[in-house]
Parts: sequence; C-alpha cells; structure tokens
Amino acid sequence: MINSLTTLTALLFGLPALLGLIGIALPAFGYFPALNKTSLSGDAIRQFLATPGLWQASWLSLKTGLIATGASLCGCFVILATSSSSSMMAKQRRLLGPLVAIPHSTIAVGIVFLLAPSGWLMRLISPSLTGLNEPPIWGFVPDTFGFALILGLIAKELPFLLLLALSASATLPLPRLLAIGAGLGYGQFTSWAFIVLPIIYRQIRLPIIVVLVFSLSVVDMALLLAPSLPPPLAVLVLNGFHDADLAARLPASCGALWQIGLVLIALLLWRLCERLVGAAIQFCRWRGWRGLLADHFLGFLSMIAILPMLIGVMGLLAALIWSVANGWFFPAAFPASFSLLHWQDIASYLPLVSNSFLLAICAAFFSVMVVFLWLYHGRGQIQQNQFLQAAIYLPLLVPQISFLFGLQIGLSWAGIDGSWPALIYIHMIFILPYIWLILAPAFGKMDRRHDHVASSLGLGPIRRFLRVHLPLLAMPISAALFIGIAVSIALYLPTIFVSGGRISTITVEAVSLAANGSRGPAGVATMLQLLIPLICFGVIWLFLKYRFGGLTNMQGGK
Amino acid sequence: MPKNSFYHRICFIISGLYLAFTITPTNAGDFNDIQKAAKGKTVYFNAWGGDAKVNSYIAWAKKTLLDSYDVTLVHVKLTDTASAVSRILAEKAAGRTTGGSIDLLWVNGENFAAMKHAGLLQNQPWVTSLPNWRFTDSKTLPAIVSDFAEPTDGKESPWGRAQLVFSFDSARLQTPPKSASELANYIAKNPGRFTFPQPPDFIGMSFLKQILIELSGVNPSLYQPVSNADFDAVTEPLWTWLDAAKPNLWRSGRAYPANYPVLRQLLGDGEIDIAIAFNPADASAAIARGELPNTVRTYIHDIGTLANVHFLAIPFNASTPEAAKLVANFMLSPEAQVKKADTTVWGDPTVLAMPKLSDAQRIAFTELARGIATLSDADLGRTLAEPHPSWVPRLKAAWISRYASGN
Repeated sequence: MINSLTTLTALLFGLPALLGLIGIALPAFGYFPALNKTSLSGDAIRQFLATPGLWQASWLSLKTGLIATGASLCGCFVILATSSSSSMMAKQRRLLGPLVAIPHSTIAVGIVFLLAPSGWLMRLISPSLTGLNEPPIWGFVPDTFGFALILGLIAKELPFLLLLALSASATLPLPRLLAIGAGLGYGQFTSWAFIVLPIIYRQIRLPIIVVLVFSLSVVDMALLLAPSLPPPLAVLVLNGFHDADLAARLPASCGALWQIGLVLIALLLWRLCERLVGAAIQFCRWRGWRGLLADHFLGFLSMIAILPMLIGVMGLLAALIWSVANGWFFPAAFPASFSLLHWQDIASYLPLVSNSFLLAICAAFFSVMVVFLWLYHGRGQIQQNQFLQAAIYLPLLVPQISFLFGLQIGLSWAGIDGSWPALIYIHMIFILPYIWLILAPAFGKMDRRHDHVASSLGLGPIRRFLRVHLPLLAMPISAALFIGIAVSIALYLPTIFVSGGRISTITVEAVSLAANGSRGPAGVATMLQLLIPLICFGVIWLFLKYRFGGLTNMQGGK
Repeated sequence: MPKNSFYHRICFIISGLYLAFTITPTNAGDFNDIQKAAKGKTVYFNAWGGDAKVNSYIAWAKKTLLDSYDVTLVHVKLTDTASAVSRILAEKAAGRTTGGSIDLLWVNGENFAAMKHAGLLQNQPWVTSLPNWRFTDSKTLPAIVSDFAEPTDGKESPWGRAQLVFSFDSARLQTPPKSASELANYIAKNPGRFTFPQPPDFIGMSFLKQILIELSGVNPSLYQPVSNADFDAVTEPLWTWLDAAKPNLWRSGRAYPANYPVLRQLLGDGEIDIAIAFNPADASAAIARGELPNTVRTYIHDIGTLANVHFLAIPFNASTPEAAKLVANFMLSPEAQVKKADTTVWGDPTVLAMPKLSDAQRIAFTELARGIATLSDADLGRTLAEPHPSWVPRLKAAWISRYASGN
C-alpha cells in the first residue's frame, strides 16, 4: 500500500510529459481530428522534411547546445579548482544564489544591449575613441554562428552548474583529497582534475544532461540571441505551432519529435566526449603528468570563466538603467534624462508578481513534501527502479517544445487547463527532479546516531521528524526550496502553454516586453521578477541563521 | 477519473446556462438581455501585448467596463495572435465546445480567414446586432465588413483602422524615399541602413505586400484568390527587388528584427534610417515615451500605403460570449473610439463614420491633438487595399523558401 503510493505519485509526475508526447506523436503521423484528419499518413513527415533551412537549423541547435554545455562545465570546473578554501566556497554559494535566479530573457536582453553595434560598450567608447556618431553597420548580435546564443547560455548555465558542483563538493572530504593530490606531487590544477572533479562530475552528471537538453531546445533566449534565418530547431518548431495556417501544426509535431532525436544524438556525442576525456585523464595519470605549469594559467582561465557571469550582471544593470531612462540615444553613454514614467505602471505588474510568488512558493513547498513522502516510504524503491527514476526526470530530459503542445490538448480535454491546480502541478514536475536530486543524497548521509539517541529518549517518528530530521536537513531543505522557487519563477514556455494565458506571471510579461523591444517597461518587469527570488533567498537565509544557526554544523557527524 | 467527470459535469451545467441565455437575446435583438447576462462575468481578451500604448488603452477599457457594466476584462497578452488561434484549435481537438479559455480575440487578415474556415468562430453572426453598429458605415468604409477581401459575415466586430507609415529621423535624413524604386536606390546607396521585420511577422508581410502592389502597378489579380493567378509571374518583380536589396540591408540581410517595436528600437538606436509601423501615430507616441528622438517624422509612399481594419472576434467555445459581445459593443462606442484615437493614449484611427455621430461626438474627434510626427488626414488620404488573404500564405512560403535558409 505504502510502496504503491510512492509508485503512484512518481508516475503521476511523469505522466504529463508522457501524455504530451502522445499528443505530439499522433499529429506527427497525420492524426488530428480537429482538422478532420483521422487517418495515419506520412504527409506531415514529408512536409516537415521539406522545411527550408531544416538541416541548418538542426546543426545550429546541436552546435550551440553542445558548445554551451561543454564551455559551462569547463568554466565551472576552472572556477572550482581556483577556489582554495571552503569558506571561499560558502561565499561563492551565497553570491551564486541570486545569480542563478536571473531569468534567461534578462541575460539575453543584456547581451544584445551590451554587444550590439549601437550597444552600451560602443556607446561608452563613442565618439571619443571611435569617432563614430552613428553606430557602425557591422554587427555581432545576432551572429550567424550562434556565438551570442552560446554566450547567453553560458552566462545562465555556468552559475547553475557551479552552484550544484559546490553543493556536491560540500559533501566531499576536500582537504583530504587535495592532500592526497599534493602527496602524489600533483599541482592544484591536476589534483582537482584527476582526483576531485571526476567525483563531482559523477554527482552532477544528471543536471549536466538537463542543461544539455535545455540548451538544445531553448526558446526564449534564442528568440533574442540566435540567428533567425534559419532559427534553431526549437524556434522553427514553435513557429510551426504558431502558424496562422492551422495545418502547419502537423509538420511542426514532426519537428517536435525530431527535436527529441536531436537530443539523443547530442547525448551520444556527449557520451563519446566523456569517454575521450576519461581516456585522456587516464593517459595523463599513467604518464605521470604532474601539470604544475597549468597552475600558472588557472587564475587567467578563471577570469575568462567569470566573464559570462559578469555579462549577466551588466545586463541586469542595463535593465535597471533603462527602467528609469528617458531618451537614451547613440552615442550617449548614459541617458540624457531620467524619469519614473515606466515605474508608474507598477500597479499593473503587481498581480503578476503575486501570481509568480504564489505559484513558486506553492510548487516548491508541495514538491519538498512529495519528496519527503518518497524519502520516508520508498527511497530504496525509487533509487533501485530505473523506471520510476525515469518518470521523475522525464520532464527535464524531454525538450519542453516536444511535449507542451500535446500536454495542452490533454489538460484541455481534462478541463483543467488555465486553472491554478494544473499550473502548480505542471510547475512541480519541473521542480521535483531538482529537489529529489538535492534532498535524496542529503537524507542518505544524515547521521542516524542522532536518530537513535532521540529514539532512545522516547521520541516517536513524527517528533523525530520535526525535532531531529528537519533541523539536521535544514540546509539542504532550504537549498531545495530556493532552487525550486528559482526554477518555477524562470519557467516560461510551460507557463504560457498550461495557463492558457489565464494566469500570467511576471516572467511571461518580461519576456513578452523584451521580445517586443520595450526596454523601459521590460526593465521594470525584470527588476520586479528578480525581487521574488531575492526576497525568498533573504528570508530563507535569515531563517537558517537565527533558527538553526548552531545546528547546521552537526551534518556529516563532524 | 472522478475529477474529470466533475469538471465535465460543471461544463455541461454552464453550457446549459449559456444556451438558455444566448438563444433569446440574439433572436430578440435586445441588448438589455445581453447586458444582464454579462453582469459580473469575466471576459478573457486575448490581444497582442507587445505595445505599451495598446496595453494602457486596454487597461483603461478594463476600468471603464468594470465601473459601468460590472464586467471584468482580463487582457491576456499575446506575443503572437496565431498562438491564440492555436489554443482554440487545441481546445477543439480536445472536444471542448464550451467553456473555452478565450472569450474575445483581437484579429484580422489571415488569422481571421483561418479561423473562419476551420470553424473556430461563433456560429451565428452577431456584429450587426450590436447597438453601436449604427455609428459605422460600411458604404464609406467597406473594409469593416470585408477583412482583407474576406467577408466578415458578421463574425468579427471592427475595432480600429491601420495604415502603413514609414518613419525617419529628420536630423539625419532630409528627403526620405517615397516609392519602392526610390527605396531600392536609397538602400543601394546606404548599405546597412534599412531593414524590415522578418516575415511571417505581420508588418514584415505587409511590407512585402506594399512593395509587390507598387511594383506590379496595383495588379488586379492580387485582389482575386491566388489560385486564379500566375503567382510566379505576378510576384517576380518583388523577388528581383528583394534580391537586389538583400546584400545592402541591415546585417547584410542575414538577420532581421523580429517585429516592428524592435524595428522602431533600431531607429531609436540609430542603427537604421527608416522604420515601418502600421499606425500613423506610432512614432509620435514613441517620441512622447522617450523611445525615439523628437526629430523623427513620418511619411507614406506617393502611390499610397496599405490600409486595413482590425477586429474583435469571439471563438466558437467562448465561456462568456454575451459579455464578450458587450465588450465588443463598448469598444465600438464613440467614447471608447475617441479615447483610442487619442495620440497620447494609443492613436489608433476610428472605424466610426463621422456623419453618423452627434455634433458633440464629432467635435471630440476633431479636437484630438495629432502628435508631433503624425501626418494629417489629408496626407494619409492615399491608401492601398489589402490583397486577397490567400496571397499571404503563398507569399510567406515563397519568402521563406527563398531567404529562410540564410544563404
């Protein structure tokens, strides 16, 4: 009974992605009753294959996705290897929290505004250095190679991976591992690369795959940063779903399936790279390479790795300035005058902010509760059953564009689309995997001796949970809540597909404003959007500090 | 699933109630019943939300509707109208014939044609029974009953008029090019300083149509279904024009802005010299908001520019069709139309016929300030009619197959 409860809930959260896939597969093979197409045929597939620019679009997606993920991971590891002490790591974690919460669209807008020929960097040096009173006609953003998109993805994914890697390294006996490295005569770089990073890599492998899948199918960032002739595959598919010609949905469904194929190809290539890098490390170890020279470059490399994050921060700064700018034209380095014109509309954004807030808090809290249900009643069951694991991770491993249209039909059929429960439910399926990923290992490592002591003092299971487990797990729970809230706030496509436009969030508003070139209002929306995770972060941090300040050190039996 | 059937049951009850309400008023033609049925209802109005001016106008309408009629208008801001059409289709696919998520939709042209042919609109005509319909005149403005030459059949209510206008910064450009051929010369002489929103964007497609109409000498076959015409022969001049222009477009024609607000921003940033909008007052309003320098002015081509009407439609499965009709009627009222025509609010020209208004109502329109960059009605007098809607998908497909692979 209890075990079937675990199975049931795990399946419940994998179901939407599965239903969505079916809802996509049927029209892909020509079955779409709403357009009186009720027999299976290969027409849609043939039409899809004839899409102009299909192969360039697929290549663009594959290229940008793989490079962005690889570069994010390298950058993340370089920064890790540079951070020498655990106190420095704790500081980094606190800095990264808000950075992870910067929405994709904000970073994209920031990059465009920084690097465009008429952008901030050019304005800062014009006309003084360049002699230009008009922006030059050569342009970088968006470039045909997809470099701007790669940069944007790194700016977003590097902090995310770094945060997870830092969490993973917190559970490792770092000083001991590094001492072993030093004992073997390794430098700082090689100690990390040969001893620590492989362990961390294994721990964060799943989130890396998630980043890869996301980068391959990103839409909101691609709209602003990617080339549009042709666009990356996911945008091409979305255009099909949004085509005024309703029959275009059928080939678009094929595209959604092909997006999954592309993900599989990317995963294969990634696996190949893993093997190659693994072999290279083996070879270096075997040759006895100590790599002391590499340490000299470490500082320089980590500076480069920090650059994309700096761009994210600059983008935020630009958004803030635009929100109060009144007339800011090339080549002025700063607005001619300031006004609060755009901030006067703040009242119209507040319902959206409260929607985002409510949605994120509910989805994150419920997800933590569900994960605790699994932890107490079926931890082993989920960890041993690959099928159940797949059900939990499915929503993150299948590209969003590949199942959302089908999911929309499914929810509509059930009559619950555009309702709060449906929206919270769908947000939960995207949050749960992360929370499981954070809480399951922490729960496993919890020092059971405290439990035994409490038990011998006569505390029942509920009181043990409240008075022993919760305080012991306070850190990971708050990390899980924060990640959950940040993920929920950033969800764009799932929110518009599931809400049916009936429940809008500040993120949807910010993306729409940014995509429509309204820099001022988009700046206001972005600031408000960022406020939510910042407030949550602050509240959680204060709560931890004053409520559990003395207890967090008990973790790991130190 | 018990929940499922619970919702279905509620849907049935609600649809039953609506049937009870809907049948009587339209037949009786009595708007009071509609008002009664609409009271306390919420109307989900799906409208493109990419322009701050339009959004603030809808916010004004929302407040007025709540105060005067106890109807709650919720503006669902779309990035693309076709996405709403897509959602209605998804609902039809799911068999939801009532209780749909969209009550009212801002639409025209090919989206309307697609909805009409896929049966996604209210089954019965409802527009001419609106009380404020008497202020319009389809004889002087036939476009209110014929949307891109597609008969509206009383299934969408006119909301506003639009005309393609070009804007330029008079501080940097003295004499803007006023025809397709002059524009071609301008582009050749000023590489990198002109572009248009990437088709199939609405304004991008409109620009293609404008150039095509000009180059083809207003070819009459453009106003017939495309199947009756030799598409390749008629459109040949357009492709020649585009092929010649492409290397000298902004970013060498390898990238295009996504939509007209982004295009306007490029003009503000000084990256391009000429921008396009489908609203004569757009530039003035942007100047007022500090998005364009106050030296920006507008012009139209000598032969005239594309003009059309945009509409409000009610989907077949709207949850509150009566309240949606009430909103459509309100939007057609002289009060709402004056507010909409005000440049400081939106600056969207009215669809009402001046002779049909009272003196006071007419004066309200004539007293509106025009805005620093807005042309006079006389200057905007030359218009070109929209081609038959069937041309749009063909043009779109042809543009995509020629230019979308990026070579």
